[in-house]
Amino acid sequence: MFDSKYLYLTSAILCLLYFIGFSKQGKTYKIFSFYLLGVLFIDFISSKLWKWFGIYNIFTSHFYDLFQFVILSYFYATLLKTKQQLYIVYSLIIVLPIFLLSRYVFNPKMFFEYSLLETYLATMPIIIYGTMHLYNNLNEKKEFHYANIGILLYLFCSTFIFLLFELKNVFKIKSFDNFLININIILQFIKFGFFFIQWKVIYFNKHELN
Amino acid sequence: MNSISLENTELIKAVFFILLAFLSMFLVLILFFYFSRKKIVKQEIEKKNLEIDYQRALLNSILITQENERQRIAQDLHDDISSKLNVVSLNSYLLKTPNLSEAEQTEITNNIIDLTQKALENSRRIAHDLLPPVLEKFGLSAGIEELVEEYNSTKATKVNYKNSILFNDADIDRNLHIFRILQELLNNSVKHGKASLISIEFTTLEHQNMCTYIDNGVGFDYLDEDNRKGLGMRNIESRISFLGGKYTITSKPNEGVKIVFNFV
Repeated sequence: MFDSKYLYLTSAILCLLYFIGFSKQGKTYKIFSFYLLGVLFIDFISSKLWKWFGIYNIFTSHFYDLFQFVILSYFYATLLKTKQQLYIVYSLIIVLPIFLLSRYVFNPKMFFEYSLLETYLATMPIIIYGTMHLYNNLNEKKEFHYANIGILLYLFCSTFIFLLFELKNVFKIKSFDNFLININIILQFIKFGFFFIQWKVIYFNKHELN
Repeated sequence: MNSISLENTELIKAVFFILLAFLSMFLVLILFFYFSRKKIVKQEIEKKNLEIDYQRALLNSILITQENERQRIAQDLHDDISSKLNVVSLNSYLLKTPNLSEAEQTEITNNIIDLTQKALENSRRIAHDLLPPVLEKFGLSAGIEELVEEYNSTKATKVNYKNSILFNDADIDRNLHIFRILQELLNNSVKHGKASLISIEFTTLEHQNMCTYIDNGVGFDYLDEDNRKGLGMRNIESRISFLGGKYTITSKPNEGVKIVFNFV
């Protein structure tokens, strides 16, 4: 179960499920499907980089963070309703990538290092958007409710895991490695579980929640 | 030395970000709970206000009905009893006049007897209209039977009544509600619906008493707000809510009316 092989398999099956009947669905659904596909692609490529080309995959985390931030921002932009909320989403979607990318222009060496600031800045807004969506959903029609909970739960926990990972690197504790990786894998499975429920709700319980 | 200071910076950086993450997530959670509570309370208040408005409308309709009923009773008393007693009183004075012939005396006495009888009959009718004695003496089913009989005797309307429920005759208040609902429905069907065939059926379904009322009258557009919020409908609605039941109405113009309501 802790083998990331199964994680890719689950992720791939989920992608497949979401891409069945893709054309009939709305914008939010399409963005979400692309998010799943993108995450699968980046994860898979980064895991094979060492095997295929003999290069370290640290720099792929930048792609992952940035991709996740941009596409989930679009995802929430279609879900959020009030003007203020959308204003925050649209401003950050422009300002934040410019800021993060400009750091690499001024200091290209940073591209090959893991950046705590980047992880924090790219995840926190998504957590805030997810919470805003949860707030909007109170006592109302719950659109993409399970997907939102899955994203929120995973981001909440994974942010800490990445930060702890960094702390562990500083102290050079080796035994901790597998533990954190395994927790991350379990969290991903839980996240996919929520995404699967979301897919089921969209296709089978149409009138109930979506 | 250099590597130690580098490690220290890394450590401080990691600890700083962990603290920052904790703090921001805590803030997000607190804000979420604060605003959610506010939103939920606001929605609860709106819901309660709607309920109060609805109750107020019901109360208003009850008061209006009460006033109308008083007016009707006053009218009945004035037209059917007071006027007749007035003539009786006049005739009684006439009896006092001296030198009345035998024939005149008999005529006046007959007049008085005739008028008092009519007044008596009218007062009985008014009392019967207010609360049929059969309802109290023989129970709801007999009361409804009598009501149906009255409508059937006009020949213009045929009312079928079927009942498979044993009403609790001790519960006079609840029985009166059911009786009044049927009275109102029958009155509406004949007066507004011009119905020629009406059916009333009481059944039990899963421990719930149900009444199904169907007529073949002109019906009405139930989706039209004005039709639903009339005094008669409001009255029926409040009586059903007193009975702890719910109701459904299906009607379209020229397709009659079907009303089903349940009660405990």
